[in-house]
Amino acid sequence: MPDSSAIDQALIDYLLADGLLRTLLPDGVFWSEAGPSLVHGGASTRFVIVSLSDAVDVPMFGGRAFEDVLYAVKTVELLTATGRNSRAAAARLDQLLDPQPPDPRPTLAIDGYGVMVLRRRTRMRYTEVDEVDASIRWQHRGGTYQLMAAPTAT
Amino acid sequence: MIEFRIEGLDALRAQLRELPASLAGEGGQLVAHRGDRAGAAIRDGYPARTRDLRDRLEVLHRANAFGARAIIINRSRHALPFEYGTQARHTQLGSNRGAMPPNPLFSSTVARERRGMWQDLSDLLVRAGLTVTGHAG
Repeated sequence: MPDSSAIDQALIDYLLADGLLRTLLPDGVFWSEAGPSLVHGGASTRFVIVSLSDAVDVPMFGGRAFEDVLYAVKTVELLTATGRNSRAAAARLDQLLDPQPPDPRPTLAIDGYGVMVLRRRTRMRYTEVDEVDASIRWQHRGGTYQLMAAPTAT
Repeated sequence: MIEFRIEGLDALRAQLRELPASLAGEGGQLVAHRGDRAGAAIRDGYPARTRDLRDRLEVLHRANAFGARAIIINRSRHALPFEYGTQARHTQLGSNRGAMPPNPLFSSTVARERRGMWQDLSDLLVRAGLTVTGHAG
């Protein structure tokens, strides 16, 4: 029985495994909300957030032929943190998830699934400014990515 | 002598000539309807206290002889943070609001209505006597 959460986890693991992205955003890759830094255990200030924007199952022959999932994937950086890696990190994120020709397609391994499509649908970028202390600014960059995965025969 | 006579070819030819314009007209209405539905659902889904999110949502319609578009846009500065989440922050009232996880109301509603629109347009073509194959997503 395919486990849809395996798709989410595979995406997180794929991003976590990239050395360059971890160098740029060392605190980690999290689902929906940032957790403690994977480096020092304190508050995270440079990280990636993956969340679900939309998901639909496409049936065929009485079963689930494939899952069509739209993820929001963004880099988040506190701009008072040392260095500003947001731009480079977002570019790396996009290169990992939707590399353009002539680069090869991503090799995302999902337990129980085969990847059919992984591509960016829209780009996002916004700055969040603290209403009390305007020096606290968070930069969010990334996009929504469509991932279509078909359960593999067991 | 045997003679075959096919009646109505001229009428069929005329119908085929009219088909694109006829389909574009009805298709445009379907696109506009789905756009309006999406806009209403998104507006209703925003929290009532956040007037700006509701007030700055617009549904724009564009149509010509070749196609139709419904564009749903939210010009509020809160729209992207609401949709994709925020980090810990304070309000002007001094409260610590904390991190807000993503609320993909806009994305999921638009995706759902877009799927409905594809189905509506597919049904329209079938009603017009055409065969539709494949899947658009």
